[in-house]
Amino acid sequence: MTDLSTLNAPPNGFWRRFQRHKGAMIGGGVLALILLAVLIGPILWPHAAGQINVTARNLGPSLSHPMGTDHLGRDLFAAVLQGGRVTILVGVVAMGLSILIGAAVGILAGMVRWLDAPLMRLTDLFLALPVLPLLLVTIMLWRDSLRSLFGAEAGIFLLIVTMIGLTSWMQTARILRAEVLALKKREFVTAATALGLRPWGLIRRHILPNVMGVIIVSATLGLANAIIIESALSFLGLGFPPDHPTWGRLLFDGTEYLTLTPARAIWPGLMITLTVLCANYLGDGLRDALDPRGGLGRK
Amino acid sequence: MLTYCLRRLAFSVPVLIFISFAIFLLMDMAPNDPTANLPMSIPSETRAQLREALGIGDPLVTRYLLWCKQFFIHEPLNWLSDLTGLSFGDPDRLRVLSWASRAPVVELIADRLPQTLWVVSLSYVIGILIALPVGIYSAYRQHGWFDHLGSFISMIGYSVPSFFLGVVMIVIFAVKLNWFPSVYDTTLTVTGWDSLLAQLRQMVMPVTILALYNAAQISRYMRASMLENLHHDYVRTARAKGASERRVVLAHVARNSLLPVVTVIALGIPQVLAGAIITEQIFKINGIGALLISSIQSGDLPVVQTLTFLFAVLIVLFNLLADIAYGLLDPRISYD
Amino acid sequence: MPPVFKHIPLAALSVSAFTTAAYAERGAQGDLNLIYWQAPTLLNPYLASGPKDSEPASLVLEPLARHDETGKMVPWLAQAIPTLDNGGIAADLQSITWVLKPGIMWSDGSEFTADDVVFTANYCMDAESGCQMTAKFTDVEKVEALDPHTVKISFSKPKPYPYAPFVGLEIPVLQAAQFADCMGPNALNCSAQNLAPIGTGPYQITDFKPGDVVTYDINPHYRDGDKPGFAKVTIKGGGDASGAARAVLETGEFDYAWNLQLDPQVLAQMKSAGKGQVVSSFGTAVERLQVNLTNSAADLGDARSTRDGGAHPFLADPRVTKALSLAIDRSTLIDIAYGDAGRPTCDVLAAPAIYASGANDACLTQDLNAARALLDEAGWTDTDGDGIRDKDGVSMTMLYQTSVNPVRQTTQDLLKAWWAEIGVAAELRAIAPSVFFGGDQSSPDTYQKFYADLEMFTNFFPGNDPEPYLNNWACTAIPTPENGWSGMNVPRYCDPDYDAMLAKLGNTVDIEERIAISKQLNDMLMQAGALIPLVHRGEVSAHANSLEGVRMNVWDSELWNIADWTRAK
Repeated sequence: MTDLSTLNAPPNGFWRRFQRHKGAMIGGGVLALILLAVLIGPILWPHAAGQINVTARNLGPSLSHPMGTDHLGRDLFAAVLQGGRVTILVGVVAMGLSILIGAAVGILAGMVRWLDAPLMRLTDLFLALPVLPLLLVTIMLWRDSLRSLFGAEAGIFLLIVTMIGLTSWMQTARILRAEVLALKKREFVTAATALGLRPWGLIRRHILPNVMGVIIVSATLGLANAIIIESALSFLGLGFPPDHPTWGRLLFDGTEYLTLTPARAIWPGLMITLTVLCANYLGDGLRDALDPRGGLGRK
Repeated sequence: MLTYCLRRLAFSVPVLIFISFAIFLLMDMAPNDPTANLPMSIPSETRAQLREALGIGDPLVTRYLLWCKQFFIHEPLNWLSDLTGLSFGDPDRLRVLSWASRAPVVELIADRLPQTLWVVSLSYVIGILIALPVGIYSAYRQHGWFDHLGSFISMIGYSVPSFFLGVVMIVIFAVKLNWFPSVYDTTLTVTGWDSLLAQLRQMVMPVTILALYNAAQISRYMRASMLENLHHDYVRTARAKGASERRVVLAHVARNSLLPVVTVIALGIPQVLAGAIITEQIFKINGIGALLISSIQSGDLPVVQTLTFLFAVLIVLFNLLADIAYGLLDPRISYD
Repeated sequence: MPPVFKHIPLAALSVSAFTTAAYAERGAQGDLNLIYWQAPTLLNPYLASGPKDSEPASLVLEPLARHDETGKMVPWLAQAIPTLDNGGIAADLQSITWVLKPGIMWSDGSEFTADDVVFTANYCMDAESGCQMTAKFTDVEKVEALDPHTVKISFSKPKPYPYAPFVGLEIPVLQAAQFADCMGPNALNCSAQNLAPIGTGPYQITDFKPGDVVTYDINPHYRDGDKPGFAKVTIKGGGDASGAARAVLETGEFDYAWNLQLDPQVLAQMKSAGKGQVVSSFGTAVERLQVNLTNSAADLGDARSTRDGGAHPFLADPRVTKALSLAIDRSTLIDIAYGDAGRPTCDVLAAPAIYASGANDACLTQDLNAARALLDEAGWTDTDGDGIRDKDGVSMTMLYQTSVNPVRQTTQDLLKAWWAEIGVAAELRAIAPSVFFGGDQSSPDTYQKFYADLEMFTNFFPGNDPEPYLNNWACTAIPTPENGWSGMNVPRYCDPDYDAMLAKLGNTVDIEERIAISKQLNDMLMQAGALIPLVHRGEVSAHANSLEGVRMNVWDSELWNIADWTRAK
């Protein structure tokens, strides 16, 4: 967050306004904690995820198993930590991909006049795709081919990340195009163009720094969105395989045991909720701080 | 206005054709075998014969064109003859048939649609009815306690995945308390108070969840839209003219703020329908979402293709409607 | 109808039930609600995709003979079971003659005759029809009606077991009049017929929403005037196994739930609610590991997993497979994953009881030390100290694949842990069922291509005759690139002695001798280490305490005697 405040792009008082947004502060803090936990947790925690212990099946919470165990005696806490790694990695990479595509399309459409119309029609086309049904179909039909090409975990990871990335870049592209078009009318850009700055230099020196704030907001909200989609796919049994569980998959597997060990469904679900909630609050706070008028005025 | 509509409509057609072909291609290139779910005692030769009989061996273009013909020409004709009682052309024309049930896909969807529509439309209406007043009041008393509470709840509704909330509700209300049935009864027809009550009981949980999600989203938009309008000059003018506060907020600000929200509501309808896929899975409602999932799992491509395409049609259609609605409601926009 | 009047017919019914003998009156038992969580999608068993379709169809369509819950054949639409003794089977074993019960009517009021049987045979034997039961008509030359109540089925060669056509739930008799236009390529397009066949059974279909719900009422022309007991039947589909079990055992919303393969502890907890009971029945299904006796190394190219590619570096040694089998604690596996739905077994031909060999039962108790000793004896020791045994630079690491299914993944995890204790490593793979069991030639992941060292699935044989099942391990049944990877000899087992013994079985009529040969064939497979049987799997269903007359039957439809079901008072 500190280097954010040193960015020259956001309007003055950004950091002060951001601090005033309690939800965003708390959200950012908790999100950082979750990230830390899933990063180093599996190294510190004595039980390994997936370690079978047939003498400790379906246990309730205890000191050695704070979230209890599953039907094979595997420690749920270890599984949640391990699953969080995959879930968050999926979220981050998918979000990165979607921002990359969105930014490229948005800036190109804003900068290059003859590309504007075709790129925006392409965006409209993608917006007309039925995303969830299409994701389901693609993953169901393709996961095994990719699995044999790239291996069990990598195959499904690539597929899910690519599909989420490919189907969620459109909002970013639209917002960025609008920003770029607005920026192009500002004096310093006109001046730079008049001074003979090349388009690429213009993008790098003037456009990118000025839209960075918008990109960061999109990224935060995109992270939440990607995590929700991945969890939904896993919940429908079409995401990650049972041997590499994510939070969504743990929740899906836990639903059969709802009456016996409800913790198996509750904990992974809570983790998804908490992460998404924090990311959304953080995104909201950043947006409000960037745009003093507040609200969702621009689309 | 009319030419604008026609132009937009004309643009929709190539989009839909492109999408239908993309869907077809995507599914065709993937490895898939509808005979995989048959019992093992059925020998490979029989399976090969069956695949042959289903027409899987034909080239892609043939099957795509056949599907187009059946879907765009035969089905509308059938529908027309059902509607008017007259017969158009050959009554035995081929229809798009499901591989799993050998029944016309369109009839399968028609069987399942009522459940989905009941749950989805009711929850959408409830969601809107909650969202609008909450959004208006939150914006009017910005930073007040109601605004904070409303924002918090809407943030929760926005962030809690429906599959988690649904699972928790089932544990509490269906399993522990036994208030609501755990299996959605699609044969229930409302004939009296008892059956109406039963129908409401089985709809409570799915409708609550979808309504919460919808309300969360729409109230955020309503609030933002209100905030933008509250600071306009015309509000000050209205107040200066001595109009009552109630009248200023409801008649002037709220009415103008509704404009962008209406388009958001229209644009949200296809998404809500697609989102029902998950809700139906949780609450075991045999609607079109459940049909899509089970067809995907049994490799029933005709059903999957048709359903996915219908979702695309809905999205394009509601985009169009939103644009037109915006034009009708906002006289400032001109269509040249 | 106003709510007040709704109960009157019911009240009238219960009064009459009180005064007369309730169980002997047609339709006096009210409504029956069944839940089939895998929903039926069409009701013509010849085109069906498994029991989820053919069982709901069995309320309507009936075969000439069924199997009862003990596996015994009972005449159904036929007067008696034809045998050599009663002259129903010709002395040369080349034909069988069925005599139909007189006076049986279809639910539309027309008469059931031998022509319907002949029609059904021709319907299925038409190669273009997409009929899935063609295997039941193997070697059938001709089906003819001798008179309106006598059908003769002639075979092209002697058939020691001629009861394949028209016995069991998958091959009932269709009404010729209804299906007349559905021959050959039209069969698949006859939606109306396939979704609502007319039958001779106790019920007729009133409404069917594919993939969702079937409702039935009583066939007015059913042959037994006192039956069926229930006036209306609803079979609801959708959801999952745990939801179905809960609806019967915990909430009591349904009377009967089918196919409840659930975690044993979950099922036990539901049972404790006291509203219903769990019933199970064991057929011939055995969950087994198929051992790849050929080399599956990827660098073999086209020769991968074929006999041309050479023997497997270690699994071709029966001592190794025996050690793998001994390392498995089958009882614990069943406790954790199968519960009521499983029994430990060491035979791939585990049922019917008279056919079970029992000669291989040493593997029933886990013996890790004996397993280790066997591997030592075979020359596999851990020379490089990585915890995995090796020999000549080959490490004992196996790729172990199966279909995606929670119970199978649990089994995989457990087996992997046990094998690790004897120094054998397993890499697990779970493949989507549509690919694993699919016939896509371009996919490397089908069970028949078997590009792995071990794979796990269940197979079974319907009815009582294991001969076609044992034929699965003949040399000619090996899937190869040449035959398009068809054939069920997945282990690539090939032994001339086995094939000779199979030929002998094909020419043996005496039942005792057939049993003895079958046991011998099973033992040969086990001793060669071609398969490692794990669990003899049963079917598990649940019914409400108030439902009486359920005779859980794995050899035929579970609903085979639904006409006799009643509600406890």
